[in-house]
Amino acid sequence: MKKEKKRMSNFQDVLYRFSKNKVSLIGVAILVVLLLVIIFAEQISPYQYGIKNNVSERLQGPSAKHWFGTDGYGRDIFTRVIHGAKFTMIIALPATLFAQAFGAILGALAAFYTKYVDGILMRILDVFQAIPGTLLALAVVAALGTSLPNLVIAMMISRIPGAARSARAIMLLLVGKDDIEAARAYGSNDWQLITRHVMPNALGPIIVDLTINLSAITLQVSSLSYIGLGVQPPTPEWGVLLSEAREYMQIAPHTILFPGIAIMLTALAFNLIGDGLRDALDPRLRD
Amino acid sequence: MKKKALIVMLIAVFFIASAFCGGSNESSGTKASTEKRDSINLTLNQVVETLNPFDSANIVDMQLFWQLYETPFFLSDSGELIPRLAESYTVSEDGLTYTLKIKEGVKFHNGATMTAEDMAWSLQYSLKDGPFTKKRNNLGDFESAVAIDENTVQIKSKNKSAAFMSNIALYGYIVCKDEFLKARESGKLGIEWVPYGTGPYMVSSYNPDSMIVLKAFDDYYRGKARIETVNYQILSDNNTISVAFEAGDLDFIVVPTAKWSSISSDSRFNTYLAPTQHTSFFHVNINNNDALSNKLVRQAISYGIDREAMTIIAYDGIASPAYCMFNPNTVYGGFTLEEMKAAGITTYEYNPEKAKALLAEAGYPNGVDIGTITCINGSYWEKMSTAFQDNMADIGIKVRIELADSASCRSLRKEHKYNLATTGTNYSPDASYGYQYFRVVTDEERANGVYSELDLSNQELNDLYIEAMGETDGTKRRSLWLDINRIIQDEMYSIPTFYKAIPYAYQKNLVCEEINTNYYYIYNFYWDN
Repeated sequence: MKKEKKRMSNFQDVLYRFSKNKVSLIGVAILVVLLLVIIFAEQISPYQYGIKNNVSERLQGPSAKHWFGTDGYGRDIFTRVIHGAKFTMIIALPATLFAQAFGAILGALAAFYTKYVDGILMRILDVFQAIPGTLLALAVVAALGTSLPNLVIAMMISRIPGAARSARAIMLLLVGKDDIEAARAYGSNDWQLITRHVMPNALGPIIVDLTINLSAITLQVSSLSYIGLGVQPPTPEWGVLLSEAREYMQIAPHTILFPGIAIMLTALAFNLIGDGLRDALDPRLRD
Repeated sequence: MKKKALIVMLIAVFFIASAFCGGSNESSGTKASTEKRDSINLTLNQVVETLNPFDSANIVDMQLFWQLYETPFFLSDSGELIPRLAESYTVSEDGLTYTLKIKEGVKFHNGATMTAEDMAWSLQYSLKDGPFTKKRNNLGDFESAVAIDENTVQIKSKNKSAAFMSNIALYGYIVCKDEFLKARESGKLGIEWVPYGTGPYMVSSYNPDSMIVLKAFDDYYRGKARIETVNYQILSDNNTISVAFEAGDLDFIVVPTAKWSSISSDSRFNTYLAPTQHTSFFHVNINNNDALSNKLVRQAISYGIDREAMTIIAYDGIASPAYCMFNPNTVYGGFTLEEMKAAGITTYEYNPEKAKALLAEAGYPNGVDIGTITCINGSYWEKMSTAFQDNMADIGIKVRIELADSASCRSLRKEHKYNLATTGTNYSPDASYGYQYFRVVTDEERANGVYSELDLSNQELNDLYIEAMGETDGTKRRSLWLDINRIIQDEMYSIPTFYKAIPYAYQKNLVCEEINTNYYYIYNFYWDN
């Protein structure tokens, strides 16, 4: 009972300190708007999904009818940007969560079994980390084919090595601590130590890592779609929007500007939240 | 610190937006110069694969081949053979033997004089023995070439073919035999080694990732080129190309279609919309999809395509809708919409209601899923496919777009692993080029590596093609092509979409005396100061 109360107050403390960070709250605000847009996309835009061509209205600038203008197919860019948010997040969120979860498990194993498992796991991850993340994702998509589930798998695989290394570093610090040794002395086995003592204490830094990764994966998803290996047309994903707008950049700059801003704001929001969480969770900044 | 970062970011967004919305700046236009120029700056949109003319059919490589090498004859846009390295030719009565008189005194870039042996060996290697024939599926008629005396080459054809000499004019590059063989023996073939040709330009320096410089050949037999130096810069991004051109850093470009409207209305530049013999189309694989094997479904698809809108979406309106598989500029085989209608051939002008009725008649009143359409990513093919997908949705046909790089797309078509595939071709030298698609491939031919992307078994069409290709009488030949068109239009094995034009732009004081339908020769350019 006493322990639960202490955890609650810790949470409240973190929340309080996070709410004091105005810049991070801007990130939260952007994220809330993004989530509302994703949930109410169909109600917000009069143009269903933004996939219907209308050649008589192509490349029009922003107006009351088309807030963000139209693209080379005459489709409403505002509609495509808000539906694009959904498809970008459908890929980025699960990919980040799975990558972080697998990374945490691998990191815990490496941190706990330093004799053999650590060495083997880290050398395998070294091999994967020697390949740039986007290139690795690209190779996976090329091998599996282009589809939403495959894209999630590709993103996840490319992010697991980084997540595992971060988790290992965090957990190595925790493993040597007195309370873990005390729990071991009281008879806890490795499984209990990992799940009841190490993981809960590592959760804060892992969440920070997750938000930063979410930003990176959002950019990576858009990059793959930009080069034609992500979401397939006419699905409105932000990278696809940028790719389609590339050749009209000079004559119709709005076509590239709005999807670009959407990507930038989303990445910025995740980074700001990540920074805020890191500060709020840092015990050195508690006073 | 974070606030500062945020402010900096927002300012950056503002400036980027301002830069995009700024419009064109006349004052930053072409570099004015009163000096007489003797060089020209051009661009290639990909890295060159090879400068060996026997090993590439890549359009980027060929842009250099046109300047470096020559063939016995030059093929004009109207199909006329103009003497170049050969002065004249005669054909035997059976139409199977061609005798060429070579032009005397022609020099290779190494100073050696061209001989009949050089020409015979080059033709034999180019059109039969070398790797090039594996990249082309339309050179099967060539049998052999031998030098029968110092100035005469005799060429044998397997079949009587009206386009035989035109094919030689297009692909029969002549190089210095001895030097080529020496280089091949020493393993020097490839990108860094350039065979000695006879063209008006020779390679001066070569940097595979950025720049290729050509210089005028002093001993060119038609007189030295008026432009001394040609700088080919490798630039793959369309925006970079148009910006460099507008700033005066490039002198002659193929204009990105999106920029055609603004560049063609800019008084600082000359522009030319060159007609082509090219048709863009969808190949239909009738052998692995029940719906697509049904002729009525293929006809419904053709009626369901809004070609006018497609040309605007895919090619920014500088193409014309295609209602015949062969571009009207195609020698012998091309017919205009009016000619097709006058001959009673179905032309499939946009009619979604008729498309739905045909689908219902085919047994799909509620629509049908026809699988995927394979196309090259990031190209006008992708836009063509997206427009097509939208048109098909309107008539109840579901189709998914499968994007791939160009080599993968080619491979998928060759192996028949597609439902529909976007592609296109230049019907050059004439409509017989299409035989590779519409032919019947026998088992023996298949075993020898012959393939057809459509893999048809229409013997009547195959036989008509063979008859047309062998017919040397122009009137009879055209009549046969009309019959071929009638079958192709009825069956809709391939669905034509549009005929593109090539949009060229060049600086105001550059004179381009002649730009052909499919080629340009810098030899025909000069600066007028």
